[in-house]
Amino acid sequence: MSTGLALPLGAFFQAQPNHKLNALYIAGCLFAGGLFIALLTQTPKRFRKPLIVSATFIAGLYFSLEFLLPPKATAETVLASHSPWNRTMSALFGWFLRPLASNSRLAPDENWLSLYLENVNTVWQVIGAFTFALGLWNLIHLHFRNVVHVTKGAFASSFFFLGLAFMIFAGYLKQFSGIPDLFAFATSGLFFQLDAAMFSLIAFFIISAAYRAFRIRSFEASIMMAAALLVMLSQIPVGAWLTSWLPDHGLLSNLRIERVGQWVLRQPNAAAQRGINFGLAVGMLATGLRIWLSLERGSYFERDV
Amino acid sequence: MSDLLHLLTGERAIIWAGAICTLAIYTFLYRENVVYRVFEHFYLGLAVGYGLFLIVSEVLIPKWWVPMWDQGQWWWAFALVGGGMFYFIYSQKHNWISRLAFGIVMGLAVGFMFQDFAGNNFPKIVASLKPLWPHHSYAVAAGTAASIAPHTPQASLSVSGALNNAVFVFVLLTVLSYFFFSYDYNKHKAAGGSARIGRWMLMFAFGAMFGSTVMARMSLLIGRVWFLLADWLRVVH
Amino acid sequence: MKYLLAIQTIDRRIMYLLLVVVVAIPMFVRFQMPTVVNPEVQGVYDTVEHIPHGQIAILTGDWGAGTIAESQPQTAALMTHLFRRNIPFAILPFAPQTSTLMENLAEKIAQKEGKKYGDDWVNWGWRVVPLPSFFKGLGKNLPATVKQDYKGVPIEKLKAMRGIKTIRDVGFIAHITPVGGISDLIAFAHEAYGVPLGYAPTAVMVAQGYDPLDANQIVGMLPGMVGAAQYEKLLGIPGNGLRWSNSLSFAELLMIGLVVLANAGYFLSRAAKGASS
Repeated sequence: MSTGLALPLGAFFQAQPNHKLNALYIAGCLFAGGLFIALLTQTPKRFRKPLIVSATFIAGLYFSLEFLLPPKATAETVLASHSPWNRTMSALFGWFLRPLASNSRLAPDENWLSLYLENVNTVWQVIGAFTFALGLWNLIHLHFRNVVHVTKGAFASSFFFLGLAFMIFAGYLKQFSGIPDLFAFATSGLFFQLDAAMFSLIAFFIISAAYRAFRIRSFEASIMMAAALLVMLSQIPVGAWLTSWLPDHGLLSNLRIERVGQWVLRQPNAAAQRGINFGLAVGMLATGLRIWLSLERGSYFERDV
Repeated sequence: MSDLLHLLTGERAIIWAGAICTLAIYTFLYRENVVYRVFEHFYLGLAVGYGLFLIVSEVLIPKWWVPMWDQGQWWWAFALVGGGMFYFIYSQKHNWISRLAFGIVMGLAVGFMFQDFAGNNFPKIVASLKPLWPHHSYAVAAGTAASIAPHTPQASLSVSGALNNAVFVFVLLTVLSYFFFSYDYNKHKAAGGSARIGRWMLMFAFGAMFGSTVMARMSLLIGRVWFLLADWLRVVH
Repeated sequence: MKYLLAIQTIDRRIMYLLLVVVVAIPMFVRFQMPTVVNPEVQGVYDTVEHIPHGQIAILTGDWGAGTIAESQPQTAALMTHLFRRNIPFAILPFAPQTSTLMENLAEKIAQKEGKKYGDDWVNWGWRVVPLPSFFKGLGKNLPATVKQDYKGVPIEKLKAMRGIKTIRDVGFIAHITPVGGISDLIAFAHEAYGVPLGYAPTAVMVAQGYDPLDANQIVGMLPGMVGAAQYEKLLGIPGNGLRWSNSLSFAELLMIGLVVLANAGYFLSRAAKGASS
């Protein structure tokens, strides 16, 4: 993935081939950044909230507009069309559509904002990557306290640091010394194995949980259990074997367990999943809009700045 | 030195380490014990270290350090300033600066979500408008409203197909009615009834989800048992 | 009453032991149970069967060691089918583990099928890529977007990628995943460019997969390990999917048996209580 910001902001953002000058420019950027943060610390209280609101809105506007503004292909179609609607659109928005349609740098499904997608994504990723120490700090703090105060979990907590140090050392060897063996061992021999073992524990817990808690106490529980049993049996070979005495074709074949299971999955299940998805999507859209427009309420969003 | 390292980290060593790790984790099935706790914390440390390694090796070095330092794109230094703003979360006095950074990231995420929402859900809305009456196949002129639907309305629809479509639409509508929280179901009996049926229909979905979850979890165990028997003990092939 | 209580309170460790035993037994004893191919598996098979020569397929994934028992047979079945049809494919891993696991698997199957890296498949390498820009890039200029494979070789130099200019030269994308995540591919690959999508989730995500399947946003699905087993049956190559699905059958029968037992105990003890009172 490319990284250059040269495309959008032209002459100002030119790569500096001279290494010393580049270092100087970097120092200058850091100095300017420091000044910017110093300025932020001096921002009067009444401007802080509007600043956060504007930054959130502008950030959200980019992807929204990139999606909502018409692409080049649409502009070309509207300008070429003779239908009354398109002629009206051309008359009203020709100032926007004509340069869009004639821009040779754009693919048919792109508009001007699409050109910046890669840069915006890379900046988003890099800035996000700098937050790695936020979570790390909390974990280190917790386990360090356990070890230093010799609490009950001190012995186990010391193994957290052992695992962390081992993986960092192995990663360092791979990245900077070109020795990949220890990293392969740390990942394939330890981390991936522990990962798989830890998740496979759920198989044991699910069987004992179902045995203890899955009781038919209500109509809803009965439907749920029936669907669960049908889906389980219909997917595995032994389920097909159970009703294999029924004919392959004809009306009775619809009673074969794999067909009943398929019907449950493809009709009521698919429709209910879509209902859930629509519910989720509308909820996410509403929450998204509230965050974007800084209307969201709650302890984090209403905290005094 | 490098030969010794190679031997200590070779294929058999990896399998033995994996077996020891697996058995150590499985001791928890008998009861809570110190061996499990130690390996659990070791796993946590490895996981954090792995995440850290990936962030540095796959994002910060190739996408930030190399362009900035090796390719002369000095402006990437500003990203350090942007990233540093998050750490004001630890400052009592200037905590709000971290909120500025979080606000920008949340704004971008929300904008991205809008794109994802439209790409995923608009075609599903169209696909939910299913024909409910059996019919023979017929031609649809290009550009007409009927040709927009992705499920080719010109194909014929059998009686059983129409019944299935009716079941689908019925379940979808009742489930959606269950999510209308703004109705007082005591006053609106029809809405209440529909929501109750919607709840039953949701149980189909939850039952199916439970059934498939069981299958997935069992598969994880099968993978581990196969590893122990085939790769470690070599008693099955 | 004592027995009714006993069948509701079996010690969990006994259940755990039983589970390990029923999972292990089919691994020692080779046998084949009837496997019925579901339409969604057939849908993926038919799509792969009809990819025109001159196009490539992309196998994306984010699976790791944790779900190897499901994701690996799914990937193996798809790779075998593509190799046999002489359709070159690109591995596009969305997680670092996946790159290694898929590459090792491709190497192993390629040896059997007589295929060669670079000619019959390529690995684009793990990418921390935001999907909208990546797929828009593929739509505009695929080689310029992908740039190089996981070894750092420019992809124009690889025979498998010759003549592949944009995403319109991609005949099929399959997503092999333990966590879902198909929605992004639907939005930015299928809906944007009309590329046929196949979905190979772990069983835990299967129920949700029927929604995009109904909306024709995916051409089909390999539901977990049993999906892989059905695909192996279609290909006529019994592999780990078919073998492990026997263990799965036994484990699920144990689970169903235990639930039925507990419910029988519950109802019988309720009936006994009712009679005594």
